Amino acid sequence: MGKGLSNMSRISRESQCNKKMYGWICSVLFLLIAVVTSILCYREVEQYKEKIGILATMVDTSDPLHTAASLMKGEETTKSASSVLKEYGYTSAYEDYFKKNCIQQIWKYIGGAISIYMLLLLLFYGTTRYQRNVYREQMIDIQKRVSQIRSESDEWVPPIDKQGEEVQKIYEELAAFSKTIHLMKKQMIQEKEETKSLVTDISHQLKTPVAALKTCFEIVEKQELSELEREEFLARCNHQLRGLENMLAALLNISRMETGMITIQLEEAPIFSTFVEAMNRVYVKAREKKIELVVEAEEEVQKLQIPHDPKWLCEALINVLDNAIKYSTRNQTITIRFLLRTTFLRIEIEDQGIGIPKEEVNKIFKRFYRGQLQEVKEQEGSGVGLYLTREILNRHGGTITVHVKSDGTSGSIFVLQIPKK
Amino acid sequence: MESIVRTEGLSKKYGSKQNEFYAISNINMEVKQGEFVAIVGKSGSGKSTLLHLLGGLDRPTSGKVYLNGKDIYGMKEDDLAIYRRRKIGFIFQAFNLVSSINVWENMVLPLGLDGKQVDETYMKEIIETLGLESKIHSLPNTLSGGQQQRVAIGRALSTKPDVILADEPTGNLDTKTSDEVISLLKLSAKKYGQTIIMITHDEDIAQIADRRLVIEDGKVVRE
Repeated sequence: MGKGLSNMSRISRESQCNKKMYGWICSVLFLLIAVVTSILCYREVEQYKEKIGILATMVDTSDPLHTAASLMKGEETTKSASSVLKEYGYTSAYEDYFKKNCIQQIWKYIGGAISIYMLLLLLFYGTTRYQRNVYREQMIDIQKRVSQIRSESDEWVPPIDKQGEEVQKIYEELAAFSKTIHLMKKQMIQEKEETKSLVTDISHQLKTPVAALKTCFEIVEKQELSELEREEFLARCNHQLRGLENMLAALLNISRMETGMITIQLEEAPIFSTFVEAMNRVYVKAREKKIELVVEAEEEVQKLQIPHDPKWLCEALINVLDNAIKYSTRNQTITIRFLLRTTFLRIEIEDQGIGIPKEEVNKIFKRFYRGQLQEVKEQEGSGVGLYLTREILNRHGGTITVHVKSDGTSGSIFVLQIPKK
Repeated sequence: MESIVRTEGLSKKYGSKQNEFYAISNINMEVKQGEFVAIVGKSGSGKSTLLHLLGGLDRPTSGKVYLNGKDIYGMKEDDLAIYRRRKIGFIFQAFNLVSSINVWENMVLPLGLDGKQVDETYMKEIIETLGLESKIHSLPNTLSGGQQQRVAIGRALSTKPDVILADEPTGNLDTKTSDEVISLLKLSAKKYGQTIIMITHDEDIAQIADRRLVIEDGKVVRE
């Protein structure tokens, strides 16, 4: 309420300012015309006096020729012209032709001046009125469009036709604004859809292992089994249970990330420490398979601080390393290279394992995707690790890609790029 | 309008009646705002033709291209040229920088050609993101391939276009530089909400995009 009132008083102050300006312009115009008219009238009177003066001089002289000649030379007229006229009885204006003319002319000037002044005022008023109308129309148009933006679901494209520069800017700003709102609406809808699909995916993914577990238990419970068979089935149940556990942990991670419960918090931290942490977490699995982990990193990399979320980036690195170990065979080597590039830190994780078939290269980062190779199917996995890793890298402004080796040897090279600042 | 680029039944035919050849036929695709789409295909698959049509650089035999809701081939040639200059940014394989002017001048060139004011703050930010601060006054021939392509990216971003079209942007770069340049392109685009459509035959860098379209013999085989 208060804002509205102060707005109103500001507007009335502004119109008062405008009125003042108008007042000034009118007065200046009036002054100008008055001055010009006065000058013209004065000249007229002077001319009249000159004429009369000449007449009086001629009348008053005894030698007209001589007098005329001297007048032509520019000599002054004698005495006061009006006293001569009086002598001869020309007192009133009715009898003085020149005076009459002079006065008429003066009236003409005054009349003309007034008309011109009136005309200019009219013109002035007309144009300001016109401008104000145009302005008002534009304001109404803008008003309409603003309410359009609010109500319509579609984006609004501004008119490109020629408007005043300021108004054009307003239209452009409104267009950008409408785009922003539209984008936000879309985002909201999309997020909702994503949550829906996530929930669907999760329930789908859980159904299978839960069903298998159920069957297993039912068999153990009801069937007549030998001791050996029983043990085998119990082992299977156990296996399913562990798989379920892993799946749940992974799903928890994804759903937290997707619903924004967990955010990436960037902090300047030594990236190498994060990497070492990841190494520590996978070291045991590597040792079990007698896989050697070779790290190639220059000294400057080891001291490098880059903005990242140590916890989540550690998770990302663990996922890739885990995969490398999982799909390598015993006694193989996994090489991790750190390279400092212009904008990014490049981390290559190369293994000598089963590799990824060309057709699957683009699918492996998809949510819940598991490879089609037999070896992959035999391994435990939820299909979620690389998906999560890609999400994490994306949120760091980085990327992860997989390169198929060019020299024909087996294995893959995963390339992670993280912005240095 | 949901999508920022949309095609309807887009086709381009070459040749006369007897040996007609459809470079692309009946392509219907959509790109949403802010997406980074890679169009992948072997040479001769029609991807360059598709990109040229998306950028208003050629005329289709049939079909339409909508850029931000506008049917670009419904415009007059002059209007299309202006529209292209303002709303589309291009990045080429051959960088195409002007060799007689320096990095800064190359980047603001499209603005100058259009008689527009340079938004210095924005440009400085781009230069920083691209890592070119120390090279602003350098001439293109003193820069490496990767650096030149970054300048090209900066130039494409300078006009704040609706969409950036990149034609084999890493064709002249080595693997590691390619990876970096494309990641940088993605990063910059995300930062400013730009949409990118890139054509490439390199599957590795196509992975960096949000979405991949595969094109074969002029038709889209989505993936």
